[in-house]
Amino acid sequence: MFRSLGVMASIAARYLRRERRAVLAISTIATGIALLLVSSLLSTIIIDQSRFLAIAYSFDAAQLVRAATALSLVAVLVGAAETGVVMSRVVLSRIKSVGVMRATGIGNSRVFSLFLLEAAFYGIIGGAIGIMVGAGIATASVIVSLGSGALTAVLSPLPLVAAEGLGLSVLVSVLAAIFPTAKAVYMRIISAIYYE
Amino acid sequence: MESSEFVAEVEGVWKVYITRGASIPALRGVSLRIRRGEFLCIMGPSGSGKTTLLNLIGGLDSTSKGRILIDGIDLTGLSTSELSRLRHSLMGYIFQSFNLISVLNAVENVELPLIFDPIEGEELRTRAKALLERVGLGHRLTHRPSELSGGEQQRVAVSRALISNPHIVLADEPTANLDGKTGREILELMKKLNREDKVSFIIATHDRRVTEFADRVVNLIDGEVVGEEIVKEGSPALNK
Repeated sequence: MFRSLGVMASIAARYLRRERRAVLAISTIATGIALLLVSSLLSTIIIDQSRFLAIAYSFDAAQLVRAATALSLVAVLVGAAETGVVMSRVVLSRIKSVGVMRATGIGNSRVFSLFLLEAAFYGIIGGAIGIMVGAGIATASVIVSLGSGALTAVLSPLPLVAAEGLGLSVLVSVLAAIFPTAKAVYMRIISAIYYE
Repeated sequence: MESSEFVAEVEGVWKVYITRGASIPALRGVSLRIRRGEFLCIMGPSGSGKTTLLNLIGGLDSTSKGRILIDGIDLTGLSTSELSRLRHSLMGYIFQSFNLISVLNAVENVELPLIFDPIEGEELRTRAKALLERVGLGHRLTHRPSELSGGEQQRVAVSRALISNPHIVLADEPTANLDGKTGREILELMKKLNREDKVSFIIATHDRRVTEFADRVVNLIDGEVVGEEIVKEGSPALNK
């Protein structure tokens, strides 16, 4: 089980290194996660800072945070769609390989897992970049607007938010890859081998 | 399982493709028996059904009528995973366009069919290297397909087909993408492995040169066997 996973990870990693299309998917996911992280980290500050606005104009600051979070989630979803498109192209360009793997008796589930693992790698890399960029933007904007004193409060939920962001990016990448992969893995083997 | 003298038996096989309501028969009642260790050539022009026949023997496609037995096992009615296991343990494939995995190097490509098997990584690597040395690629182990010539790529593919110690190797036009000299070298290599390992080779081709190496040639035209000739005296194709 662990050996299989190791083998799949090493093949997926090799494909990843040579797959230029992956850059697009990774950067879109990273943008979404970065936006999500910024809005999550700054939510406390936004609510705090806009309290006076709330009193003066009967304005609900939490609404502003919700709007920001919704916007970030849209960015993550766009990243997911982008991953779906990228994975379709990636799978299409490798249909012959899928056919050969299946012809040699490698089971459908393993071929399937191979592509999902590759998509998970896109998610991990995109998520990690997004977390770093998001945390960086949040830190910089707090230092500029409120000074470094406010940093501790802003960055205290970082581990949790980062873990959520990473989980989300992996999840959307894998979900986005399921459909195109299923199409290739369940087509007739000979159609895959002789695919032009 | 080993008791049967035939490694593959094709019995009254039909394959009909249905395209836009019209049915096109690719094979019309083909019967054929392949002995252990035989080097069989299925000869025919393009469209004669030889690739279809090869795919059916290889369990890559299902028959419309008739049945195919591999080592006495009837392929009809086997599930996808049963077929997959059967292909894995009994068969090797060689394709016209080599079909190597571009991101893997030569030795990794040879290992591919067995990478998920419960076999030690070291042992697998040793076996793959030994095979590549046998096909004369001992000095090209870590080269990727793009760094190998067509002939070398086909040698890697031949090694890949043999890594699981199959009973049958199926080759579809293995020389079609190679120049005359290289094609002959590949045929000589396959013949050598056939003799040394006693593994049956079934080669579908329209290349007349293959007949020089074959024990038996089966001629296929319009999906029917129109004749066969036993080429070599004392070959496994002859009844003993």
